[in-house]
Amino acid sequence: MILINLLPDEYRQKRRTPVKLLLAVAAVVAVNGTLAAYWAWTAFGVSAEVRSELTVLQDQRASLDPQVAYHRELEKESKLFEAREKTLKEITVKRIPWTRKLDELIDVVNVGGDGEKYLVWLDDLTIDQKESARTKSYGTFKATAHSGSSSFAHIANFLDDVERSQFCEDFQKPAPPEGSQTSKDEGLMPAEVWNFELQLALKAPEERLRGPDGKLLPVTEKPKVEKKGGKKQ
Amino acid sequence: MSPEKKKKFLFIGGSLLLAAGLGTLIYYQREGIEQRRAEVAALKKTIEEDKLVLQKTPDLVKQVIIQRETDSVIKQILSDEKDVNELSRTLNRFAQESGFTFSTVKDDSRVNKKNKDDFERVSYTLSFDADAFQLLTFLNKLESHTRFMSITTMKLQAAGRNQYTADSVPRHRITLDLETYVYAPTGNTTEVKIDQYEKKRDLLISEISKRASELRIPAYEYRGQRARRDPWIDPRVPVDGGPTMPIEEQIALVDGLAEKADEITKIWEEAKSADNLIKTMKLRSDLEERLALLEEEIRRVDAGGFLVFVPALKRYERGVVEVTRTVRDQMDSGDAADGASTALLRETFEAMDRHIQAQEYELALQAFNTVESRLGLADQDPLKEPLVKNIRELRHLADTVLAFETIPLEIQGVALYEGRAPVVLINGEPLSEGEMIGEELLIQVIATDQVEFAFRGLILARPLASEEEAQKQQQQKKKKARP
Repeated sequence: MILINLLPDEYRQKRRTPVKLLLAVAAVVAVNGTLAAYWAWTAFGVSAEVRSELTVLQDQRASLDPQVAYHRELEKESKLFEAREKTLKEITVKRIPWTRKLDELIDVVNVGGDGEKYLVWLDDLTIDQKESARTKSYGTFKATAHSGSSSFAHIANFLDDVERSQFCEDFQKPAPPEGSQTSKDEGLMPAEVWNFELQLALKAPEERLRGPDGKLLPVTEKPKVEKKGGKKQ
Repeated sequence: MSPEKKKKFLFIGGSLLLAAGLGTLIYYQREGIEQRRAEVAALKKTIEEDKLVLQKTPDLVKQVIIQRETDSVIKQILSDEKDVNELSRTLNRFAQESGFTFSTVKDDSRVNKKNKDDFERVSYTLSFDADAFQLLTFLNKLESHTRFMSITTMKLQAAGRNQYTADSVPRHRITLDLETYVYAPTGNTTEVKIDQYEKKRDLLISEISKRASELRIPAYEYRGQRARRDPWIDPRVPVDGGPTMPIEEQIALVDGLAEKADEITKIWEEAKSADNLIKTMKLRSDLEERLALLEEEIRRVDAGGFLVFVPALKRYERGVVEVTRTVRDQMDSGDAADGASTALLRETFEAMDRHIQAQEYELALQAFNTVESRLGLADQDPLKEPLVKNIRELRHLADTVLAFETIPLEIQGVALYEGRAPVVLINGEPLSEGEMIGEELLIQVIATDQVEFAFRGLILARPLASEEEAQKQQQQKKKKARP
């Protein structure tokens, strides 16, 4: 349907932009204006500030880099020395001072005097420091020994002295005395002799650590690890 | 579509496009900002970490300086290849200083694989014959050497009793495996340049020396035999060996004598090389005194038969008797032209006097015998003649006493009567004072406890046997009388 307004101009309703359109245009302008303003704020404000901060930090980093590189080089050199020292420690910790051990053994043998306590002598000596992780063996000290006495108790006296001596500090306790008597030799004094084995097992290297004064250091216990979800203690 | 509507659509479309464009710009802008902020945060973190790291740089510099300076200690302990060649010479020297020579030296290094990164294992198998104390001396030299050496296995087979009668001290057969390490760096060890290194090092000198001493392996102080017996020597003695001096005392006795013999040898060498007469005379006088005293002790040891422990006896013969005899022979050959020296005569006189005081008449005669051949020439020297005369008097005294002791005199009793001459029953015969027994023995005085005799110009007494002794003598006679 076609509407024709026949009213004179002065009576006709005035033509103006519709409110809806006006509102829509205003909203569009406001939104776009806000967006543009926000963009301008981020581009020329925040972003510039961050860029500037980044540049400062990069300069700072650049000035630190040579010093850090120098530090890393020093660390590398130090680690090489540390590795060498560690190797030295590993090698030396396993060494048994056999001069000390044999000297202490001679002391023990001589404590027996001329047979009042015991008169012991040895036929041989076998020292073996081969380690076996499977059998937890760190080496052995074996000797065939004789006790010049008719009394078997003299062997026990000797083994008691061995156990109490400094000589035994690096070894496990000797086995209980066992021996056999040989035939009498009337031409020699004492005529009766007992034969026995002196057999000792070396302790683990960490149990043999000695301080600069030559005394054994206290053994530090290793941390125990629980298998099922346990924590390191 | 009306142009109005078209315009509207265009406006709306344009506006939306503009908004979308702005939104996109804003999105990328924010993303860029976030990214840069993340970079800033990461950089800040890195810088903080770097700063923390750099705080440790001075300590690290110190540590590296200490490590560099103490690395020489590690290199000493675990030396380089060149020193391995020196090792064989060192081992040989140690063996000689310990008193033995190697019978075999075998390089076992090929058997061993490379052990650690920077160190290669080197092994030697050494075989030799030595006594326990020579072995300990050798081991001590090895273990206290600057280069790290370790004994991994050792086998010792003791010398058998049948070897104890040989000329030398019994020696055991010993085989040992010796292990050492060669420093063979695999890492790149270029040194970082440290500014003012020398100055910083000088400031750390005490820490460097402390660390170096921590790295050095402490050595055991071996103090020698100390009169102890070798545990690998059978200490049993023959039943007819006699004396009961403990083995430790026998060893200590020989140690003491050997030390004196060594001193005498040194003085003799010094006397021979002395550059002036006065010094020579002083040294020889001292030597004569020491030699006479040592000879006196040797005579006592020989007479006492104290030494039965074979190693001690062998050492005594080799290190004391032979040394003393050699020095004495050398001195005598020098004195042959003008007889015994005054010092020798004086020392011989004093030694004989001491023996006689100790009633060791045979030893006094032995002391006399050492100078007897040279007394003839000395006798002609007016300065030495009184000394010679005194020595001969002591010799006469010792000789007379020994001769008197050999005369069989069994004093069975004494009878003293008032107003009558006392009578003594000797060898079953009643004798009184002034009577002779044989051709030389005159009864001088008869007392209640002893009888004095005049014999070769000396008055000698024989005590009367006590009742117990008399009973013992009678029992011995009865035993002898049995078939």
